[in-house]
Amino acid sequence: MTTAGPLAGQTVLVTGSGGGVGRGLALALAGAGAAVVVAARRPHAGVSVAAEIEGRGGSALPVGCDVTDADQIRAAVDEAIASFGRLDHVVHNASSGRSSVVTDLLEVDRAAWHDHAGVALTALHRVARAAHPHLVKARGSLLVLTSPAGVEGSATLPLYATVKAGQRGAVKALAREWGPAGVRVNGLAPLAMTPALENAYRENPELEARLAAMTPLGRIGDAEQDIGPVAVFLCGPGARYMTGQTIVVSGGRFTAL
Amino acid sequence: VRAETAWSTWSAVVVGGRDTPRSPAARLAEALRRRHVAVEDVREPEPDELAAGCARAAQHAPLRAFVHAHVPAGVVVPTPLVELDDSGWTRVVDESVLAMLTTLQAARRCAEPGATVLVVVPAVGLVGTAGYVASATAGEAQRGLAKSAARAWRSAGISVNVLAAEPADLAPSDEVSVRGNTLSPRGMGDDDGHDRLVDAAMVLLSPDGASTTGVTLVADGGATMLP
Repeated sequence: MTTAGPLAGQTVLVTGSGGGVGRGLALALAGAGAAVVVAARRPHAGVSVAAEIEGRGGSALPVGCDVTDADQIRAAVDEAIASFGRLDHVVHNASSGRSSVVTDLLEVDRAAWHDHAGVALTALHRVARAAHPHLVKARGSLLVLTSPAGVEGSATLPLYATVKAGQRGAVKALAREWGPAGVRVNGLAPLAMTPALENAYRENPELEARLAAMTPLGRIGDAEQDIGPVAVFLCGPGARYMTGQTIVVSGGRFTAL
Repeated sequence: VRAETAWSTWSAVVVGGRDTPRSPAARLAEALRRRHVAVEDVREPEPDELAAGCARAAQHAPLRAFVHAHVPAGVVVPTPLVELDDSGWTRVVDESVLAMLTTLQAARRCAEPGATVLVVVPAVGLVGTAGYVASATAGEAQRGLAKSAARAWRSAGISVNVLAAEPADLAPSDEVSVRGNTLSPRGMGDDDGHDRLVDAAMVLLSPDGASTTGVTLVADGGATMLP
């Protein structure tokens, strides 16, 4: 493990960290000194991110983990303990591959719901249960990657907004439930560049300028540089008196919380 | 007088079963009937039952209100998350949201412009309550879904609002234990006999409130005061 940084000596498991925002969070957390368990549905993606962390002098363990599989979640937690001897924080970042697919609410069916909820909500329940004894032992924290869409709703991404809103409810209730044991639970709602958004930019070159113009700071956040430091803060000692909060990191785009 | 006249010119569908006269759906249906609204009860939020309920309601008068007050078993029963297995979680979270989704879709298909959809959810999600993680998740997910529907359907003249109620008001019963730190100890309103859930619902369903959409009204006697 890295010996410097606010998270030195601690272990963080990040779900969905094989790419996109999860990768950025993993890099930032590792940069803050944490040993990072890179839990990714696609094992090769997790290996790549872990190698990137180690290439920077950090410590990482790639773990194949489809969060819709309870056994794989338990195995990822077990591997974290076996490798690093402790688990201080869990970042539940994984979200459905259909998160950014525009959907008509009238056409939504049960399968679509389960696709979204299985990753965002059911997996959150399972991750929380699996990690709970270790988080209690470490007096650590659970950080949930939610979204401004969960605060404001979305006409075009109704299921995404629904599950992200649900995560905020879980954060608030779990913060109250686990607070007495010294475990903090917070949410982070970013506006960040993702592979899906990069693809959208390629297909629609005007989109980037349009989105930037809607954001007071004039750009879409970078997962590692803009969102990652807030995740480090929420996991770190500076946030030791914060729990049950959702922090919106959106360049000022969303101010309604 | 104007509002009383308007109430009597439309019909409503109330979803949520009528197991007991004290269930939220039963109390809301009764309140609407007192205002001379033609009400059709739908016990389960199933597509066929909802379509039939809509058709029956529309025979009486224009269908202008849908109330979703379906509260799955387990929503009002406090359980620590680590003791809640997959089936318990699914029974609260997935069933709550899917039931609401079914009602919303049925309402959108048969609603007329100017119609209002009101969804009753547990208030425990607003500020969080220990022992109610699944219920809080379900309640906030339902609020997110309602906001999304409100955004999607406002151009069609359909409003969607939320009423957040205490567990004790959703299932008034001696079995509802008050373990959380945000729960009001009393159910079914205050000492003066008013039913706070019903009172607040009538505000959102009022003909004068048809242009309000995407809002959440908290009917908990002031226990929760949002920023």
